[in-house]
Amino acid sequence: MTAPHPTATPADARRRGGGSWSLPLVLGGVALGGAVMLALRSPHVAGSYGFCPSALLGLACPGCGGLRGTYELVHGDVAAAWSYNPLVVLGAPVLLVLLARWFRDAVRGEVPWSPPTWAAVTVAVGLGVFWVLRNVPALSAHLGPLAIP
Amino acid sequence: MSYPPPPSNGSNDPGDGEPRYGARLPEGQQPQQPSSQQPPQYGAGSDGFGSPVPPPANPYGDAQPGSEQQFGGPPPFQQQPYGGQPGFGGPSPYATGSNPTQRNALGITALVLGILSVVLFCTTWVATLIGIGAVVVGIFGLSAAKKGMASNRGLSLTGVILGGVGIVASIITLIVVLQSPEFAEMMQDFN
Repeated sequence: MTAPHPTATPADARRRGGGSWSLPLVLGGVALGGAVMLALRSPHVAGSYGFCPSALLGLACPGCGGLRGTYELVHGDVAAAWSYNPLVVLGAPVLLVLLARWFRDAVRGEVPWSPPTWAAVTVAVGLGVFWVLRNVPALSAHLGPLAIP
Repeated sequence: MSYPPPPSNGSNDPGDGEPRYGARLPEGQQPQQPSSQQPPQYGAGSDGFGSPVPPPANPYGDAQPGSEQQFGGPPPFQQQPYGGQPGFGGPSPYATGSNPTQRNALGITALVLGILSVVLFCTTWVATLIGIGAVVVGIFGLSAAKKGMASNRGLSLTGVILGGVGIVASIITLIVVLQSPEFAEMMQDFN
């Protein structure tokens, strides 16, 4: 017989049968609330969400243009969203699918899916590459908000 | 679920139930008897926090009318040897002793926080806080993977590394911004 786990608690027992479905629901609600907030309060107005210190650096970090890009995405303009921040265009559907799958797994009582390590490393390396490339003057017109006044 | 003594068994200590059940079982089930003496790890519901009193051999016994157990009502005696052994059942979600994916949420959380801290590093102190969160959660995830309670050690490690990069980059950004003449001008404009 396999030895019973000595520190198992009912919370652990609940967790092993699948996670809570409320957390993905809350995160989805936060995402929806953010989209509504962006639709109501445009990030195109300077200072509407504070100022980003990177404006003083003259460099674009990977998240620069993220709010404006999400604003355009919420309003259905994918091309404009890409010109502000391609990460938003690429990442938003991935995040929505992951949230939906997390919620489905939790409702079914299955263990939530965990992405493989190579995917995480690919995302991490891709972030670094994107960060460098969008600051290359020849490419920033395609990858970053710097070319947009 | 609590363990009040069954009304008709009140004078017996829990171990007395064992030979009474064993005497009525067919021979083929005898070797499985000792395992039913163990505390029901996952069948115990909300009472699993290490109660000092050893639970009775039948974890579901208190759900049955106690007086009928003495006269050999078939359902309690048939079900007890199987229901009381959490270690043997295959497909039951409560059956495995130590689930290797139990704490996988730590690795995923560390990864998400690490990505956020790198993406948002130009927000300086916000990214620093997020990065600290990524490192802390990731270290917990690495510890859980070491204990065999998480299978995604790579995600935790990636989260820790990304969180560290985010912390360093955001602090450098903060220092550079605070020392820049443009920042001084901006502060004067605010005032």
